[in-house]
Amino acid sequence: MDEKLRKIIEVIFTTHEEGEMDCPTCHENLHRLWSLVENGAEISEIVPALAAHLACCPECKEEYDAFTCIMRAEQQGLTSPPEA
Amino acid sequence: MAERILDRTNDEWLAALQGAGEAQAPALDDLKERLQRGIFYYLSRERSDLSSLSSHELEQMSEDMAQDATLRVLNNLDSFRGDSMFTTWATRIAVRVAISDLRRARYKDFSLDNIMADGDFLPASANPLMGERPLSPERVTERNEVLGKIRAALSEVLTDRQFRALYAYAVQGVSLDVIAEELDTNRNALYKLIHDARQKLRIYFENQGLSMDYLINLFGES
Ligand SMILES: [Zn+2]
Repeated sequence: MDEKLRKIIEVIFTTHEEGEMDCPTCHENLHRLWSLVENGAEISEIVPALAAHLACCPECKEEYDAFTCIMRAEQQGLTSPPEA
Repeated sequence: MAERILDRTNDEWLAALQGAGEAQAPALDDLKERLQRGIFYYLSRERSDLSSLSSHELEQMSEDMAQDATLRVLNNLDSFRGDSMFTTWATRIAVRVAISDLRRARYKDFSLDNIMADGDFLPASANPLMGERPLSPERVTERNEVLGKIRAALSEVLTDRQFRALYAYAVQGVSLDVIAEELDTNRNALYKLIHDARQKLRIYFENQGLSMDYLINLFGES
């Protein structure tokens, strides 16, 4: 199948419904979410709207992954100070 | 040399950063260093697209990003609501700065002007010879009809701005940050613009009786 055609079809039919979360709201909630996520909470259970946004917004997903990656590394002491 | 205090309470962070002079400078240094370490970890461990860069280059890159992020944090102290650890909030801002920078670098030659008008990117016809086995004449006709409908939808349902934004985002995979800059708008307005375009098209297709399964099946078949 033509690659460009497939991408257009996919992007059209994978949109979420009106009233779902937008990018800034998604982003602005990340820091508050961390205390729950670090204790193993599933975001799809605690904030389904945010999980739904991440599922159809690769950009916010990339930011979410980067954020949790850094937070987890800090928590585990992997970002140790240079002189330590 | 003043002793470095890496673990401040939220109030201590705010007091130090809001204060001028003596207390502010070391707090800024600590914050920047902390953000830099986080960013460096992310760039060096998680970004396979940066694996050709030397450790020194990654250090430099994280330092620049941390510098920008620290300023951004400083300028937005008023918006910190105390609803997390201060450093968690600052990390969230740093991630945004770092990823925006990476996206801008990745698409630095991108221009919306190079996107042709509506629908021209679609295959000109159903091209029955492309597949592994020939399509029946009926199938070819059906494909051509549907291609015509898709082309019509893209040019009639969408504004030119919507089409270019959607094409850059969906087909070319360009970041919203980058497209937003080209369109002189912000990422959220752009997200809404693209979201509206997606919904208008979906409704249009559904009204025409064209479902995703049907389309994938029609064009996926060879
Ligand atoms: Zn988003």
